[in-house]
Amino acid sequence: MLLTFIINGLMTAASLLMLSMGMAIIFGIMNVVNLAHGELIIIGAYVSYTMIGILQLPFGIALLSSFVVTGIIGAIIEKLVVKKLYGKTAETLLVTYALSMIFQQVIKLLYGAGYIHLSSPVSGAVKIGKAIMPVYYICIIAVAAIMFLVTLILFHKTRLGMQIRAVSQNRTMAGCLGVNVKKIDTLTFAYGAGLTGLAGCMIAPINSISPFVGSNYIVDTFMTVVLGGVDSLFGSVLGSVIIGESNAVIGGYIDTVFAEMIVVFAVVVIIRFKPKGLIVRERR
Amino acid sequence: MKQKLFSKDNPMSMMFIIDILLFVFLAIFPLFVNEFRLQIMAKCLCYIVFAYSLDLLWGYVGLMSMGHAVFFGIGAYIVAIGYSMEGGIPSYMTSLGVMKAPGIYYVLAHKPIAFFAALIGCGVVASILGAFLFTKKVNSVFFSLITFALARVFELLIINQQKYTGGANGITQVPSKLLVDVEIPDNIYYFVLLGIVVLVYVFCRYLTNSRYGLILEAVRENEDRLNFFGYNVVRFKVVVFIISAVIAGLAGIMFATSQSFIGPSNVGISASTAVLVWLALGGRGNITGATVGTLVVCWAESLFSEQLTDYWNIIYGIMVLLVVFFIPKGIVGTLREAVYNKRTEARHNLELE
Amino acid sequence: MKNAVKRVLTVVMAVILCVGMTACGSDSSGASTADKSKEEAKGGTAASGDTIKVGLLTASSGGTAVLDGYIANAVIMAVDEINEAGGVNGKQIELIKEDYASDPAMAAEKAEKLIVNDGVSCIIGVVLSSCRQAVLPVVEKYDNLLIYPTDYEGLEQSDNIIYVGCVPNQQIQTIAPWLAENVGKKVYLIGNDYLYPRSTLAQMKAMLEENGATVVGEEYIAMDETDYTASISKIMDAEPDVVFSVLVGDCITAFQKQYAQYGIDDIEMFHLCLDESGAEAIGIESCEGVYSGQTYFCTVETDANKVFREKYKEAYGTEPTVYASNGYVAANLLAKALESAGEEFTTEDLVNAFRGQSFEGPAGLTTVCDNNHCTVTPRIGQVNADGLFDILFESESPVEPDPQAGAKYYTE
Repeated sequence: MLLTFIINGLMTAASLLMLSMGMAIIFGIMNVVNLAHGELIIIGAYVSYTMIGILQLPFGIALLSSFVVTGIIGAIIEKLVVKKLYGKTAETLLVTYALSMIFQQVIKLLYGAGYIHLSSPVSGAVKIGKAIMPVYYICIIAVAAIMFLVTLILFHKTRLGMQIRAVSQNRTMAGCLGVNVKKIDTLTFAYGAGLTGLAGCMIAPINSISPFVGSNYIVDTFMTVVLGGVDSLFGSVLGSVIIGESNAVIGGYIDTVFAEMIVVFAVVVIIRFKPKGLIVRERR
Repeated sequence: MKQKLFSKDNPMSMMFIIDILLFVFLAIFPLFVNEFRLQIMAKCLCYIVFAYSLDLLWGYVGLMSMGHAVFFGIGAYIVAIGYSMEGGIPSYMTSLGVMKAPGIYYVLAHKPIAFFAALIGCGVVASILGAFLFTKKVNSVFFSLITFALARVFELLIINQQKYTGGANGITQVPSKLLVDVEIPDNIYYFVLLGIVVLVYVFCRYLTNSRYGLILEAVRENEDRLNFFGYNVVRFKVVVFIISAVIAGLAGIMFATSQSFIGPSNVGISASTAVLVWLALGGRGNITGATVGTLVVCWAESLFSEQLTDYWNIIYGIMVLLVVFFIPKGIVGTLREAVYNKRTEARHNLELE
Repeated sequence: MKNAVKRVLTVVMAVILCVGMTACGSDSSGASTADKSKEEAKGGTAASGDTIKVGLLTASSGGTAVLDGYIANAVIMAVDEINEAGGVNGKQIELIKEDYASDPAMAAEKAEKLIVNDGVSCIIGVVLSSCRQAVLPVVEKYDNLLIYPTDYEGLEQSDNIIYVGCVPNQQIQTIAPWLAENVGKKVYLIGNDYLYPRSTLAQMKAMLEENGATVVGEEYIAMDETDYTASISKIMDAEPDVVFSVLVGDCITAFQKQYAQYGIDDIEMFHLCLDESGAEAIGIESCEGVYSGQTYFCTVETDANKVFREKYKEAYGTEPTVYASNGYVAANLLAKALESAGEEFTTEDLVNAFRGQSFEGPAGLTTVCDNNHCTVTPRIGQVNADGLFDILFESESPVEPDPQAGAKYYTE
């Protein structure tokens, strides 16, 4: 039984990691608390619905286009709205909350209030002892891992990544050294939004998607990012593993509502003692 | 130096005039409308008190609580549970097979006990939370996030403990009684609510205009400097958090008794976010803005959602965007600034001549 | 300086006036008419105008927007039919629509608006129990009537509500024996964590045990859960023959989508609340073969349904569901009740006129009983390759409602 729960936890952790990676970038690197995160997930899901359900294109293209489209939307948000509010937490929260309401209603006007259907591209399941692992969940784990690795390489091995990190550590200095700070901001935000949209596309086949379900994801993703440590991508991995596993194990043995309460409560206590999260990156 | 209250140079005098006009308007409002509109205004009155409570915390001390509805909920639920015990075990319990309420419920069945228990409950929760949260380590972003998470936990708890809280269905038919065991008709209850609003208003004004209020604003502006001067900043934060929580609890009591209903959607994240919007729109840190913002948003919501249902959320969202970008200080804050700046300018010109 | 003060005062007064005017304006009544409209609302004399005003309280956003949409569509369709056929007692029915955004407090507010401002003689609408319970005190306060077109948990009976949907006993007493006999004796129960699933599953548990089946597990899940892997593992571990679920709304969709990924084929799945729209959202490949216990499927073979289904599909482009059928029945029952209540009536008259009224609707004969609930014909369907339901079982005669049945079975 425990093995099953641990494997479940792994699957939950992978989807959490996938869903919260974008937030880890937007919140961790840019210090913007984005309350419209859930709606970005839903936008990604609707983009893939448009590609697969309406235009009959293959899943891979849907995945790519949800990344691109949500990324573009992210860039627009950044250019029009968020850009003017860096450093103003309260205003950012209000504005992103307003955006989430607008997105919900716009999606509803475009696609209707109903649930959308997306078939999963793969089916079948793998048996590991007594535990069963659906192939699609293995895909999710793979996608989460790829997303993570690509992000890691992007941030640490490319020139762009170096600029992003430089801007995040010291904007003024980076600007003085000739980095186009504004462009980097937009790109970072767009990349974070794009990853979120991609995650939305991935979860669409296994979750119910309607214009109003975005808020279901926001608390879990926040918890993940904050728990792991906002500064660090590895923190998000740790956060999602901890939350995923404890949800699965506590939820498996007791019940899921209780599990969620315990987890949120534990996170609150952890933030109190380690406000920077479990993994703190050294800063000068 | 003490300024005269109604002098032309005191920016406060404009606020007082607006406040008095607003209260007069609220007092004569029942003359012009029917029962339904009056009921909405009664709801607004509860929300105004709620907005005051957050204004003390966010506007004056700069602590943006994203889960303030938790206190609203604690107040409302304690009173709703207590008051609904009057006809024996409430139906939301019996229909889930609970034939005997927990002992505490029988204690709460006494109206004054429930009333004060609700206020004290908020205070106690706030003091524990405050003592736990307000340290140097936790900065304001994390305070917002923690309170956001707490709102979530509270909502889950209420839904999960349905045997005792009515769960997702909430508690309905809470009698319109306050303190004493007399059912008050809606049109009179409106004035009782208005009375409470005015009392809370006077209290908030007194608090913020006192030396204490200055310290609170100093906490917002520069915590370190205040620390340096030897003030115990954490203690100030905790105390104002408690005061704010108790007022929010009072608003909850007003809501539950006047609307005869309290449910999880009134105490969770969406309710907590709504009050932030009212304050942002009206202008925070000047009490008057709380009144104005609440009235404008509540009435806009009521009237627009009747006419333009499909577009209301978009209008609402755009309204918030416009406020943040064009009048970041809110309606009242911007107005005050405009008038006050004009005056100092005028005086400046006068002196130059 | 004086100018500035004046300007502020003008602005303030303008704001106050605007708010006041809009409030009064949309009431279309000043102080003098306020009392009158209240009287009208209480007396139910709203029928004395040229039209009979009926409120339609549905949501276009939020959790139940889809279900509300079906109700609204069907009610509008039914009212159009009734009006085309000459109306009721020579008067047209005028629907006044309000949107409550799936929120209980909003539902109560809008109900009050419909009664006081618009003077409706009754309201059709709302889906969730929480919303009905929030509207209940309002209709009782103004002695108005709510016609509630949704299946619910029972345990309630108000003189100001006509319950058109079914209560658990009507479905459970047919489904439990059928399930034990035809599908399997080891049953796993799962539901959302609120009163309706809990009450239904409590009855189901008792009825299953009476029929020689055993319950091998029971679980309740939060309404906004998005991850069901833990529950699915528990189900696999319990090794039941069949899972009986009272999951609702988007939980059915998410649960079934994830469950299908596991490719479990030796455990049957029974979703009490799965309808055509749910099956479409899940996708046929993920829910073919799943059972459902709704009282109406669009594949019901009655003459009334053939006409209804055709017309609904033409008007709205989708297959009707149980919510559409209930809404249609509710509006038609209302028309019949209004007709027998006559020209002038109070709410009490209208309720009395409802009792005993019958309507041969798409789902079969519906009769309003003396306890304000309706008889329904229980059915069991199974999702076929077209995403519609093959009807495996249909009760020969309508089953009487017993709203209080839950209390009997519910034990700690």
